[in-house]
Amino acid sequence: MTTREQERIELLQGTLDLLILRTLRVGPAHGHAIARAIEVTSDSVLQVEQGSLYPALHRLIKRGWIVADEGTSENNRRAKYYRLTAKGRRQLTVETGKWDKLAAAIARILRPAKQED
Amino acid sequence: MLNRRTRMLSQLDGEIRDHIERETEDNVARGMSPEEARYAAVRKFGNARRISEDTREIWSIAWLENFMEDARHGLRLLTRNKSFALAAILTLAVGIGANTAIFSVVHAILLKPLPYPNADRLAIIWTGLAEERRAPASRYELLQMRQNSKAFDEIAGIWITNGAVPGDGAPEQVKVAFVTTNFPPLLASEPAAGRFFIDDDAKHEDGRNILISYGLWQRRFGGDPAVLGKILRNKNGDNDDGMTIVGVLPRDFRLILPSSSALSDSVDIYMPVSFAESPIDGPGYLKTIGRLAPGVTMGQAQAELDGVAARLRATVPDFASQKMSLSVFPLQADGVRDVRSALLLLFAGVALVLLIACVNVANLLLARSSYRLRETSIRATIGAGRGRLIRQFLAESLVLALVGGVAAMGVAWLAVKGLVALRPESLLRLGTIELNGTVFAYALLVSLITVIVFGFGPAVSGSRIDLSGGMKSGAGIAPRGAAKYSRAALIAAEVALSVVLLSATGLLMRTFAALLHVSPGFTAENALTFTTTAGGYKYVHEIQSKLLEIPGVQSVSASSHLPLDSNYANWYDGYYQEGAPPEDQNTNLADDRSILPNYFQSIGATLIEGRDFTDADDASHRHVAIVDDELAAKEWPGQSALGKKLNISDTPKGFYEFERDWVVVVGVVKHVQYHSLTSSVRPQIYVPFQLAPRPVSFVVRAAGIPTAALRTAIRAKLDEVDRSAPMARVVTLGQLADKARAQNRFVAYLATALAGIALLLACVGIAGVTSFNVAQRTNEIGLRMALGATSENVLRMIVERNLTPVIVGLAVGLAFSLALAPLMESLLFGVPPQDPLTLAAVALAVAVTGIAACWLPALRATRIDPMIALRHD
Repeated sequence: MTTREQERIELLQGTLDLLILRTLRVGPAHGHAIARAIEVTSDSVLQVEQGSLYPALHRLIKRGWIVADEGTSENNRRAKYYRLTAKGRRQLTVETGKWDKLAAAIARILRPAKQED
Repeated sequence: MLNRRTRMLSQLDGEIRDHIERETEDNVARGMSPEEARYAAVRKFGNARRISEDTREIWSIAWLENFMEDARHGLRLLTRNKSFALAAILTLAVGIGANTAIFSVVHAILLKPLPYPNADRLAIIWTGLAEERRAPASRYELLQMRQNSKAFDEIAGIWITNGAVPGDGAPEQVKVAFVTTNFPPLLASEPAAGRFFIDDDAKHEDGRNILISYGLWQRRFGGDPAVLGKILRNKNGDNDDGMTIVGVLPRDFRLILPSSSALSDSVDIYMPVSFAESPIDGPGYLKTIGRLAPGVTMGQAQAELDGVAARLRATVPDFASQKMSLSVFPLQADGVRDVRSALLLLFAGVALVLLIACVNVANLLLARSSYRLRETSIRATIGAGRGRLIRQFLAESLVLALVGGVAAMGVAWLAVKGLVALRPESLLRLGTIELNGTVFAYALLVSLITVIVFGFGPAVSGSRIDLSGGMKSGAGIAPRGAAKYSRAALIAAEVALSVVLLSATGLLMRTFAALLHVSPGFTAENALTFTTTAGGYKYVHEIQSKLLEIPGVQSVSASSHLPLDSNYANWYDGYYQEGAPPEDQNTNLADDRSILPNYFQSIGATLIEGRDFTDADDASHRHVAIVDDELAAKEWPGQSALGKKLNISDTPKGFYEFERDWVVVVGVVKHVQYHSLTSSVRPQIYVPFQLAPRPVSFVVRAAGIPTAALRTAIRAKLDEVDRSAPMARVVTLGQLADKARAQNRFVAYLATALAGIALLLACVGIAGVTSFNVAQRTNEIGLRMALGATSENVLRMIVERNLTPVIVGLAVGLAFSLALAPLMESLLFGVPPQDPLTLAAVALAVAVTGIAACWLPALRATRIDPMIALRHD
């Protein structure tokens, strides 16, 4: 493994779902675009094995949080676009709230001194 | 779900390709060489195949796919272990097949609706008079019911008698039904040709319009449509105006009516009778069939009829003194009431057989799961949870049950053929016994249920894994405590079930044996009977004298009713002795029979005292009668009945022209069983034919003449009297008695077959478990023998140990038999339900079988070579 790759962080279980939902809030996107968006917005820190995106997408479809539409992409290629549903939008709020709580809690545990400062 | 899944996944591979292409393009844009760019894109994507599979997994119905996998695995295991598979599948095939066969009977007779429109609303209405609960209604009663009932949207009547087909052609005796004009549409939707009756048809009783059966239409008139409107005339001028055929009943039309109603299912001619002009004491009784109005319950109909009966009792004194009542029953339930309990008993028996079969298969599975301990341990080690293991075992059991179920279809097909070959007439006339969709569905259901019964225990116990022990041991290890006990418990259960089945069978066999030896009041051997055209005294007397001329014939006579024959509707009526108080004059019923002289001699009945009738006992002399010993004992206990006077109904003026008459008892005869071999039903009064002319059956007693020759001789003599006289329903008294035993024989044979299967299965089970135990203990036995144990020691040790569950099962089974026996009471005759002899015989049979089943495997154990045994894994 290269040094660069070691610096990247493996995604926590379940967080990929949250990231997908967050990405799609901006608007519909195809699979590759989602993967690239996650990579770019996290400054390439978050390591997504791009393929693992697809089982996650299908899981979200099955739960009714996103839907897939047929569409034509920028250079006239046929592509599948994923789009957030109303239910998915609500779920994103819930998940984001949960994540914030979790992150805060973990931060408190890891940096107890910080609060005393 | 499946559709969505297909749609979702169809583009997955394209999407993945597209994704990699885009990434490659991006990489090229970042300055990589095309080859490098593609390689990086693929690497970044990950294992495309696994991802594709993971994605599919999300949409899959995981349990179904897992199940299919387990089922395939199970099927492979079955083909690998052929002897196990064969034993288990055969056992299940017999169990499920026997069940399916009996269910086909239960379905045809108890469950399937009658083949009539609105069958669930059809009801039969019986009149109760004095002690008689199931009498037909008079036309007057029928009219009252019809006029005063709102619960029924139709009430109709039918009465069946014998007659000859009128018109030209060979003489043929058939059943003729007198029906109210509204009867045919009650049971049939539309005629095959022509029309049903209209009310007008019943108005002119001479030159009637008639309906004929499809069968008669085909065989007599070749299915010619021109038969409609055809007038049939009798040559001997009985029906001067002839009869006109106005319609033909549907092809599949059958009368399925209660057997005790003496209504035949093959009526060829239907004649209309009118409701009108029915005097209160008028003749012409009819069995009453009604169709409930939609939404009306039997209970409501009964309440309404109670009201009708109460009004009739209030207005007609005779009805009041006879405590006349009306009872309504569902037509189907009433029709099967004689066979219901026997069928349910067989059904219970066959369920026991299936249970035993399941126990056997469970035992086999238990034994096998011990052998598979290592396999199971490996599965558990590499991560299969308890639930997953149980699911795997159950899937294998399901495969076993379904294969067994398919094999069971073959068994059922053979069994049904066998059942029908036993000709249980009382059953066949009630429905068609066949394998149909419902029966197949039932077999499938039973197969699935067996999985739960035989598969669940072994699955649970087989999945209980001690990982370290399982991995260390060889393929077969010493049985753990729980498994050992559950096998013993299964053997005990199997034996107990067999004992229950055997006891019930023993009782049924003893009943049948008792029926073979019961004295029916007549001598069944050497007596041939037949019926012919009805005629007056001169006609029947001439036939009687002619037949007596046949060499070898000892006695000839005729009677309106033959013993154990339901050819003619029963004739019974009220009677009272001279001096009876008025309140007792309407409460005694007796069967009445019109006979020629020498009847008792001809059927081989016993005249206890007095004399037989003579040709001089006609209307112009003193009116006489002969009674049976039951009536004599009831009316004049301790005295001779001879010379006593009875008031009865007879018809000296002609067929069915009833009048009350005083007769003097001139003879007492031993009671003859007319209705069944087991119950006497009513006392009997015989009157000379001349006092009560009606259609009769002849009885010819002849020794040493083959039936066929006697038949030819009778036909020849009959021709001398009347060439057009049919010779119908030629049966021996022996055949009539045989038919009366048919249902008991059917049940006894079937029960015997079931008990035999049960015992065989139990035997196989005991032997199997003993063999297994011996195999498990080969080491130990070898060691014992090496240390000096003799063959006998080993034999005794093994038999004793394996016999314990058999003895426990025997005791439990006997206890259950004793407890359940009273339920069978109505099916038994000549044997008490808790018959000690039967139980002792069963106990002995099971004990002997049990010992034998243990003995053989034990014997094999004694032949073990200690040196080999000690090295045994």
